[in-house]
Amino acid sequence: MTPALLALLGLPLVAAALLPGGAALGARGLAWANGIVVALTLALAIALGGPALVGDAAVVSLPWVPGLGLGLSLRLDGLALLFALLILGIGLLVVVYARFYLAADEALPRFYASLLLFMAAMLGIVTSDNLLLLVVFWELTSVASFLLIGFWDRDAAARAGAWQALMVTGMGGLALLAGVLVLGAAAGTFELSALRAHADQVRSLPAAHLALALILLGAFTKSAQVPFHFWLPSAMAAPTPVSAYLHSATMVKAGIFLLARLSPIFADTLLWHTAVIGVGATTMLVGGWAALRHTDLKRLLAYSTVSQLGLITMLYGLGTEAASVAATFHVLNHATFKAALFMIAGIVDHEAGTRDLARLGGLVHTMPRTTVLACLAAAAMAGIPPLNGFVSKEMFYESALDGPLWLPILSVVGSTLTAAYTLRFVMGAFFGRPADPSVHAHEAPAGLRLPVEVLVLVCLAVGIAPSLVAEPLVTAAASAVVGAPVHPHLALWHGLTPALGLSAVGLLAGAALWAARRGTARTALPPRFGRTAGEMYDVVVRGLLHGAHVVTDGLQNGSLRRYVVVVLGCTVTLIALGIGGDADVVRLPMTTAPIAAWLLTLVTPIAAVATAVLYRRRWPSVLALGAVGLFVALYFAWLSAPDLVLTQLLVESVTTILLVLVLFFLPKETHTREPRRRLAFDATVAAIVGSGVTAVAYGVMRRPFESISRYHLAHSLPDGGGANVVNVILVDFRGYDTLGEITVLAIAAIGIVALLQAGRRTA
Amino acid sequence: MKSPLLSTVARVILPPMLLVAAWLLLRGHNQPGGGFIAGLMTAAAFVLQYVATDRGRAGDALPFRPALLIPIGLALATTTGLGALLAGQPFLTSAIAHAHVPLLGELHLSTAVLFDLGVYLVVTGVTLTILLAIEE
Repeated sequence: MTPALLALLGLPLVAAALLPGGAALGARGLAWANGIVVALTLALAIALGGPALVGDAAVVSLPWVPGLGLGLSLRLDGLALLFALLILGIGLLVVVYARFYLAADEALPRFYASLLLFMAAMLGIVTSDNLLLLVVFWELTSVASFLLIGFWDRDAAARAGAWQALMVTGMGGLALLAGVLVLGAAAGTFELSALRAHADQVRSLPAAHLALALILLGAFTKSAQVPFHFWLPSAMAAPTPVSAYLHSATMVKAGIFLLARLSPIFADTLLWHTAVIGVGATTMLVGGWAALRHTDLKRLLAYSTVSQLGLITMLYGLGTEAASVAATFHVLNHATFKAALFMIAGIVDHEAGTRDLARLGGLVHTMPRTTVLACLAAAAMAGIPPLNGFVSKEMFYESALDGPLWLPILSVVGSTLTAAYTLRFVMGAFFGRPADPSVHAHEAPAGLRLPVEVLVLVCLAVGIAPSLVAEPLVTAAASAVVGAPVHPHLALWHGLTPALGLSAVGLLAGAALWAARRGTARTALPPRFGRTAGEMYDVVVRGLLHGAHVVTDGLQNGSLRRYVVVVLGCTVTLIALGIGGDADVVRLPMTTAPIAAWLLTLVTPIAAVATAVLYRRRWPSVLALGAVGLFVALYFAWLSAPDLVLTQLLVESVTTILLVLVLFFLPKETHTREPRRRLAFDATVAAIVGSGVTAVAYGVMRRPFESISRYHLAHSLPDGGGANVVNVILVDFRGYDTLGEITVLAIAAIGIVALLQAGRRTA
Repeated sequence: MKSPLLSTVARVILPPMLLVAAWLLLRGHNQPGGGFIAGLMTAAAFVLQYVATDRGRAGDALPFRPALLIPIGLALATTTGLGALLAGQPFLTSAIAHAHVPLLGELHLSTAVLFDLGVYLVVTGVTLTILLAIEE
C-alpha cells in the first residue's frame, strides 16, 4: 500500500479548488503557482513510478462505497506511469505556453483551475484500478473539458464546440457506465486487477459481449473515432493551449487508454477484433482524407489527430504483442509531436493573426526559428528518420506485415495521407509566397517557443536513441497492456527490411499526392463524400429538440384541466399496473364497527363532496371539501391515532384558508355554464380515477404483509428514546425520509414563490 | 374580512397559540405532537392573524423574513444528523442524555428534539413564505 498515490490526485484537485481565489496573484503568479503544483505532482509520479519500471506497481486501496463495489483503488503500473508522465510532462509545458499565450486580462484563475481539475481527472482515469472509479473520473474529464473548450465563452463557436464535445463524450460516458455495470454485475467485481486475473472466465460470460460493445462505444466517442470524430474539429474553438493539451496528449487518449487497459481481457474475442480494427482503420482513412480538405491549421491538425488515433486503435485491435508494443510506443510519440504542432499552430495564429492556409505562406522569412521547429515536429508526424515517429512507424509496419495482405496496403495508404497532409501543413504555412500580403508575422517570443523546443528535443532524443530514452518506459507500459512481460527492441535502424521499403513507398506516394494537388489553387478541395457526421449530429439533435417540443406542448398546454387529467391518469395507471399482477390475496377482515359508524362513513363524505360539486360558487365548494378532510380526521380518531388527527386537522385548516385566500385574488366568477360534453368528460375522468384509487387501496390492503408496528413499539423507547412511536419514526427510525421530506418542502416553497412572482410579472 | 370581534380575539389568542405550538414541539417525543404538528400550529396562528386583521399585518408583525427559517431549519436538521458521524455513529443516530437540574427535576434530553426543531422551522418557514407570497 502506497498512500502517497492519493496525493497524486489530491495535489492538483486541492490546487484547483484554491486557484479561483488566487486572482490577486496576477498572470505571472498564477502561472507560477500552477506550474509549481504540476511540477511537484510530476516529481511525485516519477518517485512513485520507479517500481512500475521493473514490473511492480504502487497500489493503494480504500473502501469508498463498499456496498456498490466502488473502491478508491489506485494502481500505478507501467501503462499508468506512461500516461501519467505524458499528462504531467506535457501539462507542465502547456502551463508555460499558456502563460505567454493568454492575455493577462482573461479569466486566468478559471482557466488554470479547470486545467488542474482536468489533469487530476486524467490522472484518476489512468491510475484507477476500479472500473466504477474510472467512470467517475471519465465523466470528470468530460466536464472539465467542457469548461476548457468553452473558455472563451463569448464566442458562439466556442460554446457550440464545448457543448458538442460534452454531448458526444457524455453520451459515450453513459454507454461506458452501462457497460461497466453489466460487466461488474456479471463478473461480481469492479476491480480491474481481479478482472484481468480471471480474464478467461470474464471473456466467456454471457454478458461479456454486451458489456464490451457498450464500453467500446465509450472509448470510441472519447477518442474521436468515426462516426463520433466530428466533435474534435469543432473543439478547435478552444484556446490553443487547451487543444495542445486535451486534443493531442490527454483527453482523446483516454479512449485509447481504455482499449489498452482492457485488451488483456478482451483482445482475443471476435467482437474486439472486428469492431476495434474496423473502426480504427476507417477512422485512420477518414481523418487523413479530411486533413487534406481543411485550410485552418488547427482543424487540419485535429483531423490528423483523428487519423492517428484511428491508427493506434487499429493496432490495439490487432491484439498481437508486436502491435500492442507499437501502439503503446506511438501513444508516447504522437503526444509529443502533436502537442508541439498544435503549439506551433498557436504561435502562427498569435504572431501572424491568422491560421488559415489560404492566407499564409513564406513564414520562414519572418519566423525562422519557429519554422525549424515546425519542420522537425512535422517530420516526426510523417515518420521521417531520425525522429520518433519513424521508429514507431517501422514497428507498425512490421506488425502489419504479419497480418493479411490488406493490412500492409491499408498501412501504406494511411502513411501516404499522413505524408501529404504534413507537407501541406509545412509547405503551405512556412514556405512559398505569402498568399495574403497584408499578413505580417513576427518571430515568437522565447517563452512561447520554449515548450515546443523541449518537445522537439524529446522527439529527436527518442528517435535517435530509442533504446536508451524510451525503452524502459515503453517496455513497462507494453507489458501492462499485454499482461505478460515483453522485451521489445526499439531501434532507429532495423536494416534493409520490408518495413523500411513500405515506409519509403508511403512517403514518396504522399509527396506525390501533395505535389499533384499543389498545382491546383490553394482553396480547391478534394471531394467530400456524402453528408458529414457533424451534419448528421445536427439533424439528430434538432430532431430530439423538436420531439421534446411536441411532447411538452401536448402535455403542458397551459390548461389546468389537462394537467389534472394527465397526472391523475398516469398515477392510477402506473399503480394499477404495479399491483395488478399480484396473485396473492388475503381475506379482508370485515370490521366490527357499529352500523352507525358505517352510515356516517358513507353519508358524511358523500354529502360533503356533493355539496362541493353542486355549489356554483368557489369558496363554499372549498369549505365543503374541507369537511371531507375533517371527516378523515374523525376517522383517525376512531382508529386511535392522535398524531394523525392533529396533523390532519391543522393541515386541513391551513390549506383551506390558503385556498380561500387564493380564490379571493382570482378574477370574479362568471357563472357561464360549462358545455355539456366537457362536463361529461370531467365526470368520466373523475369516475375512472375515483374507482381506480379505490381499486388500488383495496388491492393494497389485500396484499399479505408482515406488520412492522410490533418492532417499532418494542424499539421506540429503548432505541429511539421516545414513547411516541409516530414521532420516533419521524425523527429517528426514518429520520432520513423526514430530512428528504423537509427538503422537498423547501423546494416546493421556492417553486411556489417563483410561480407567483412569474405570474405577477406577466400580469 | 374584518370584524372587530375576530380581530380582538385573534390578537389575544396569538401568544397562547404560539405557546401551545412550543409545547407540542417539546412533548412530541413522548406524547402526541412533534415538529410537523407544531409547525402547522404556528402557521395556523399567523394565518389567523392575517385573516382577522388588515392585510399586510401578518408580514409586518414578523421581525424577520420567514423564508430565512427554511435554510436554518434544514441546516439544523442536517448538522444534527452529521453530529452522529462525529461520534462514529451512522448518520442521524440520536443521542440521549439525562440530566438533573435543580428546580426543574429530571430532564430528558435528546438530539432528536434538535432534529425536530429543524423540521418545525422548515414547516413554519414554508407555510409562512407561501402565505406572504400569496398576500403580495
